[in-house]
Amino acid sequence: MTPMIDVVLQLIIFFMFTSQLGELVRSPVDLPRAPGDAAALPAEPDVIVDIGPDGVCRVGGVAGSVDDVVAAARAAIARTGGEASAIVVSVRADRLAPARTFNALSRALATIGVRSCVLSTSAEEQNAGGARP
Amino acid sequence: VNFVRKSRVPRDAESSGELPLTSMIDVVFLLLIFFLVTSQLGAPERQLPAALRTVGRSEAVSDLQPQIVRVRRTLDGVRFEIGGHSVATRQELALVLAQLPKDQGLIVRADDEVPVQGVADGLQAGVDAGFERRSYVPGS
Repeated sequence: MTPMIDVVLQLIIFFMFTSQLGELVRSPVDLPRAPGDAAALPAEPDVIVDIGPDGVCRVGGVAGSVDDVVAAARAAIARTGGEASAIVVSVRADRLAPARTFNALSRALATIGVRSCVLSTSAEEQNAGGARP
Repeated sequence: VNFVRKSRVPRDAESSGELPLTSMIDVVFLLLIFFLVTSQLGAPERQLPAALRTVGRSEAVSDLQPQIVRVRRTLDGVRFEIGGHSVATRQELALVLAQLPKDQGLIVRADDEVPVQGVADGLQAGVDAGFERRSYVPGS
Protein backbone atom coordinates (compact mmCIF):
# COMPACT_ATOMS: atom_id res chain seq x y z
CA MET A 1 0.00 0.00 0.00
CA THR A 2 2.78 2.45 0.88
CA PRO A 3 4.41 2.50 -2.61
CA MET A 4 1.02 3.20 -4.20
CA ILE A 5 0.45 6.15 -1.90
CA ASP A 6 3.92 7.42 -2.75
CA VAL A 7 3.17 7.23 -6.47
CA VAL A 8 -0.18 8.97 -6.09
CA LEU A 9 1.31 11.78 -4.04
CA GLN A 10 4.06 12.19 -6.61
CA LEU A 11 1.40 12.46 -9.33
CA ILE A 12 -0.43 15.12 -7.35
CA ILE A 13 2.74 17.14 -6.89
CA PHE A 14 3.50 16.76 -10.61
CA PHE A 15 0.10 18.08 -11.67
CA MET A 16 0.26 20.92 -9.18
CA PHE A 17 3.59 22.13 -10.51
CA THR A 18 2.94 21.60 -14.21
CA SER A 19 -0.40 23.36 -14.18
CA GLN A 20 1.16 26.44 -12.56
CA LEU A 21 4.22 26.45 -14.81
CA GLY A 22 2.06 26.12 -17.89
CA GLU A 23 0.27 29.31 -17.03
CA LEU A 24 3.49 31.16 -16.28
CA VAL A 25 5.47 30.20 -19.36
CA ARG A 26 2.89 30.11 -22.11
CA SER A 27 0.63 33.05 -22.55
CA PRO A 28 -2.39 32.47 -24.77
CA VAL A 29 -1.55 33.39 -28.36
CA ASP A 30 -3.66 32.65 -31.43
CA LEU A 31 -0.85 31.03 -33.39
CA PRO A 32 -0.79 30.72 -37.19
CA ARG A 33 -2.46 27.58 -38.46
CA ALA A 34 0.12 25.39 -40.13
CA PRO A 35 1.24 21.79 -39.62
CA GLY A 36 4.88 22.83 -39.23
CA ASP A 37 7.99 20.91 -40.15
CA ALA A 38 7.66 17.38 -38.81
CA ALA A 39 11.16 16.49 -39.99
CA ALA A 40 12.85 19.22 -37.97
CA LEU A 41 14.21 18.35 -34.57
CA PRO A 42 12.27 20.06 -31.80
CA ALA A 43 14.26 23.15 -31.02
CA GLU A 44 15.04 24.16 -27.48
CA PRO A 45 14.78 27.92 -27.75
CA ASP A 46 17.07 30.19 -25.80
CA VAL A 47 14.67 33.10 -26.08
CA ILE A 48 10.88 32.89 -26.43
CA VAL A 49 9.12 35.96 -27.78
CA ASP A 50 5.36 36.44 -27.89
CA ILE A 51 3.89 38.94 -30.33
CA GLY A 52 0.33 39.97 -29.59
CA PRO A 53 -2.33 40.99 -32.11
CA ASP A 54 -1.35 44.61 -31.48
CA GLY A 55 2.25 43.87 -32.44
CA VAL A 56 3.63 44.28 -28.93
CA CYS A 57 6.49 41.94 -28.00
CA ARG A 58 6.50 39.99 -24.76
CA VAL A 59 9.56 38.30 -23.32
CA GLY A 60 8.93 36.19 -20.26
CA GLY A 61 5.40 37.59 -20.04
CA VAL A 62 6.64 41.18 -19.81
CA ALA A 63 5.68 43.60 -22.54
CA GLY A 64 8.57 45.33 -24.21
CA SER A 65 10.05 46.49 -27.47
CA VAL A 66 12.29 44.92 -30.07
CA ASP A 67 15.25 46.35 -28.17
CA ASP A 68 14.21 44.36 -25.10
CA VAL A 69 14.17 41.17 -27.18
CA VAL A 70 17.61 42.00 -28.53
CA ALA A 71 18.82 42.54 -24.96
CA ALA A 72 17.43 39.13 -23.99
CA ALA A 73 19.15 37.58 -27.00
CA ARG A 74 22.43 39.24 -26.06
CA ALA A 75 22.08 37.84 -22.54
CA ALA A 76 21.46 34.37 -23.98
CA ILE A 77 24.52 34.74 -26.20
CA ALA A 78 26.61 35.68 -23.19
CA ARG A 79 25.26 32.67 -21.25
CA THR A 80 26.13 30.22 -24.01
CA GLY A 81 29.68 31.39 -24.58
CA GLY A 82 29.31 34.23 -27.05
CA GLU A 83 28.29 32.23 -30.10
CA ALA A 84 25.38 34.17 -31.60
CA SER A 85 24.77 31.69 -34.40
CA ALA A 86 24.06 28.97 -31.82
CA ILE A 87 21.14 30.88 -30.32
CA VAL A 88 17.63 29.80 -31.21
CA VAL A 89 14.84 32.36 -30.89
CA SER A 90 11.27 31.05 -30.83
CA VAL A 91 8.61 33.49 -31.97
CA ARG A 92 5.01 32.89 -30.91
CA ALA A 93 3.15 35.48 -32.90
CA ASP A 94 -0.57 36.10 -33.20
CA ARG A 95 -1.61 35.00 -36.68
CA LEU A 96 -3.45 38.23 -37.39
CA ALA A 97 -0.68 40.50 -36.15
CA PRO A 98 0.98 42.45 -38.95
CA ALA A 99 4.45 41.18 -39.80
CA ARG A 100 5.91 44.61 -39.07
CA THR A 101 7.07 43.63 -35.58
CA PHE A 102 8.28 40.23 -36.78
CA ASN A 103 10.24 41.94 -39.55
CA ALA A 104 11.78 44.46 -37.19
CA LEU A 105 12.66 41.65 -34.82
CA SER A 106 14.20 39.53 -37.58
CA ARG A 107 16.23 42.48 -38.81
CA ALA A 108 17.51 43.31 -35.33
CA LEU A 109 18.38 39.70 -34.49
CA ALA A 110 20.17 39.17 -37.80
CA THR A 111 22.19 42.31 -37.10
CA ILE A 112 23.61 40.87 -33.87
CA GLY A 113 24.36 37.55 -35.56
CA VAL A 114 21.36 35.43 -34.56
CA ARG A 115 20.54 33.11 -37.44
CA SER A 116 18.08 30.52 -36.12
CA CYS A 117 14.46 31.49 -35.74
CA VAL A 118 11.53 29.18 -35.09
CA LEU A 119 8.00 30.34 -35.82
CA SER A 120 5.53 28.51 -33.62
CA THR A 121 2.32 27.34 -35.24
CA SER A 122 -0.83 25.57 -34.22
CA ALA A 123 -1.64 22.23 -35.78
CA GLU A 124 -5.31 23.16 -36.15
CA GLU A 125 -5.91 23.85 -39.82
CA GLN A 126 -8.00 26.78 -40.88
CA ASN A 127 -11.16 25.93 -42.76
CA ALA A 128 -10.51 27.61 -46.07
CA GLY A 129 -8.83 30.54 -47.71
CA GLY A 130 -5.20 29.56 -47.30
CA ALA A 131 -3.30 32.61 -46.20
CA ARG A 132 -6.25 34.90 -45.86
CA PRO A 133 -6.70 36.22 -42.34
CA VAL B 1 -10.87 2.96 -4.10
CA ASN B 2 -12.48 1.34 -1.20
CA PHE B 3 -16.02 2.67 -1.30
CA VAL B 4 -17.05 0.82 1.82
CA ARG B 5 -16.11 3.31 4.45
CA LYS B 6 -15.58 2.06 7.90
CA SER B 7 -17.34 3.98 10.60
CA ARG B 8 -14.42 3.92 12.97
CA VAL B 9 -10.94 2.63 13.12
CA PRO B 10 -10.72 -0.77 14.74
CA ARG B 11 -9.41 -0.75 18.18
CA ASP B 12 -6.71 -3.25 17.43
CA ALA B 13 -5.28 -1.21 14.52
CA GLU B 14 -5.26 1.98 16.55
CA SER B 15 -3.70 0.34 19.49
CA SER B 16 -1.03 -1.32 17.37
CA GLY B 17 0.08 2.04 15.92
CA GLU B 18 -1.10 1.53 12.28
CA LEU B 19 -2.28 4.53 10.29
CA PRO B 20 -5.93 4.59 9.09
CA LEU B 21 -5.03 4.47 5.41
CA THR B 22 -8.48 4.13 3.88
CA SER B 23 -9.57 7.71 4.54
CA MET B 24 -6.25 9.13 3.45
CA ILE B 25 -6.36 7.20 0.19
CA ASP B 26 -9.86 8.51 -0.48
CA VAL B 27 -8.70 12.09 0.00
CA VAL B 28 -5.57 11.57 -2.07
CA PHE B 29 -7.53 10.08 -4.98
CA LEU B 30 -10.00 12.94 -4.84
CA LEU B 31 -7.10 15.40 -5.00
CA LEU B 32 -5.63 13.51 -7.93
CA ILE B 33 -8.93 13.59 -9.82
CA PHE B 34 -9.32 17.30 -9.02
CA PHE B 35 -5.95 18.20 -10.50
CA LEU B 36 -6.46 15.91 -13.49
CA VAL B 37 -9.72 17.62 -14.32
CA THR B 38 -8.75 21.22 -13.59
CA SER B 39 -5.28 21.25 -15.17
CA GLN B 40 -5.45 22.65 -18.68
CA LEU B 41 -3.09 20.88 -20.97
CA GLY B 42 -1.92 23.28 -23.67
CA ALA B 43 -2.45 22.42 -27.30
CA PRO B 44 0.73 21.00 -28.84
CA GLU B 45 2.61 23.58 -30.83
CA ARG B 46 4.36 22.93 -34.12
CA GLN B 47 7.49 24.62 -35.36
CA LEU B 48 8.60 26.22 -38.60
CA PRO B 49 12.37 26.71 -38.42
CA ALA B 50 13.86 29.37 -40.68
CA ALA B 51 17.21 31.04 -40.95
CA LEU B 52 17.24 34.79 -40.50
CA ARG B 53 18.96 36.67 -43.28
CA THR B 54 19.39 40.15 -44.51
CA VAL B 55 19.93 40.93 -48.17
CA GLY B 56 23.61 41.59 -48.64
CA ARG B 57 25.86 42.53 -51.50
CA SER B 58 27.23 39.02 -51.88
CA GLU B 59 23.83 37.72 -52.91
CA ALA B 60 23.55 40.25 -55.69
CA VAL B 61 26.65 38.91 -57.46
CA SER B 62 25.86 35.25 -56.92
CA ASP B 63 25.12 33.23 -60.04
CA LEU B 64 22.95 30.71 -58.22
CA GLN B 65 20.04 32.51 -56.69
CA PRO B 66 17.67 30.88 -54.23
CA GLN B 67 13.96 30.84 -54.95
CA ILE B 68 12.44 34.00 -53.54
CA VAL B 69 8.81 34.17 -52.46
CA ARG B 70 7.44 37.65 -51.91
CA VAL B 71 4.35 37.84 -49.69
CA ARG B 72 2.19 40.88 -50.27
CA ARG B 73 -0.98 42.15 -48.66
CA THR B 74 -3.87 42.77 -51.02
CA LEU B 75 -7.43 43.94 -50.56
CA ASP B 76 -8.80 40.42 -50.50
CA GLY B 77 -6.04 38.81 -48.44
CA VAL B 78 -2.50 37.79 -49.23
CA ARG B 79 -0.74 36.98 -52.51
CA PHE B 80 2.43 34.96 -52.89
CA GLU B 81 4.65 36.03 -55.77
CA ILE B 82 7.47 33.93 -57.15
CA GLY B 83 8.97 34.64 -60.54
CA GLY B 84 6.07 35.33 -62.83
CA HIS B 85 3.59 33.44 -60.70
CA SER B 86 1.16 34.99 -58.26
CA VAL B 87 -0.97 32.67 -56.17
CA ALA B 88 -3.35 33.17 -53.28
CA THR B 89 -3.09 30.05 -51.17
CA ARG B 90 -0.42 28.01 -49.47
CA GLN B 91 -1.40 24.92 -51.43
CA GLU B 92 -1.03 26.67 -54.79
CA LEU B 93 2.33 28.07 -53.73
CA ALA B 94 3.53 24.61 -52.69
CA LEU B 95 2.57 23.26 -56.13
CA VAL B 96 4.56 26.00 -57.86
CA LEU B 97 7.57 25.55 -55.57
CA ALA B 98 7.56 21.78 -56.03
CA GLN B 99 8.44 22.26 -59.72
CA LEU B 100 11.49 24.43 -59.00
CA PRO B 101 15.08 23.36 -58.22
CA LYS B 102 15.66 23.18 -54.50
CA ASP B 103 19.43 23.13 -54.18
CA GLN B 104 19.82 26.85 -53.57
CA GLY B 105 17.11 26.97 -50.95
CA LEU B 106 14.13 29.22 -50.47
CA ILE B 107 13.81 32.76 -49.23
CA VAL B 108 10.49 34.04 -47.92
CA ARG B 109 10.10 37.78 -47.78
CA ALA B 110 6.95 39.33 -46.34
CA ASP B 111 5.87 42.95 -46.32
CA ASP B 112 5.14 44.71 -43.06
CA GLU B 113 1.39 44.73 -43.68
CA VAL B 114 1.13 40.98 -44.19
CA PRO B 115 -0.38 39.10 -41.24
CA VAL B 116 1.91 36.57 -39.59
CA GLN B 117 -0.32 33.82 -40.98
CA GLY B 118 0.99 34.78 -44.42
CA VAL B 119 4.58 34.39 -43.23
CA ALA B 120 3.78 30.97 -41.80
CA ASP B 121 2.02 29.95 -45.02
CA GLY B 122 5.03 30.98 -47.10
CA LEU B 123 7.41 28.96 -44.91
CA GLN B 124 5.00 26.04 -44.72
CA ALA B 125 4.72 25.92 -48.51
CA GLY B 126 8.51 25.57 -48.61
CA VAL B 127 8.31 22.66 -46.18
CA ASP B 128 5.53 21.03 -48.19
CA ALA B 129 7.46 21.45 -51.45
CA GLY B 130 10.56 19.79 -49.99
CA PHE B 131 12.92 22.74 -49.45
CA GLU B 132 15.42 21.87 -46.73
CA ARG B 133 17.08 25.28 -46.64
CA ARG B 134 14.58 27.96 -45.81
CA SER B 135 15.36 31.53 -44.91
CA TYR B 136 13.31 34.51 -43.91
CA VAL B 137 14.21 38.00 -45.01
CA PRO B 138 12.23 40.91 -43.57
CA GLY B 139 10.48 42.86 -46.28
CA SER B 140 9.64 46.53 -46.70
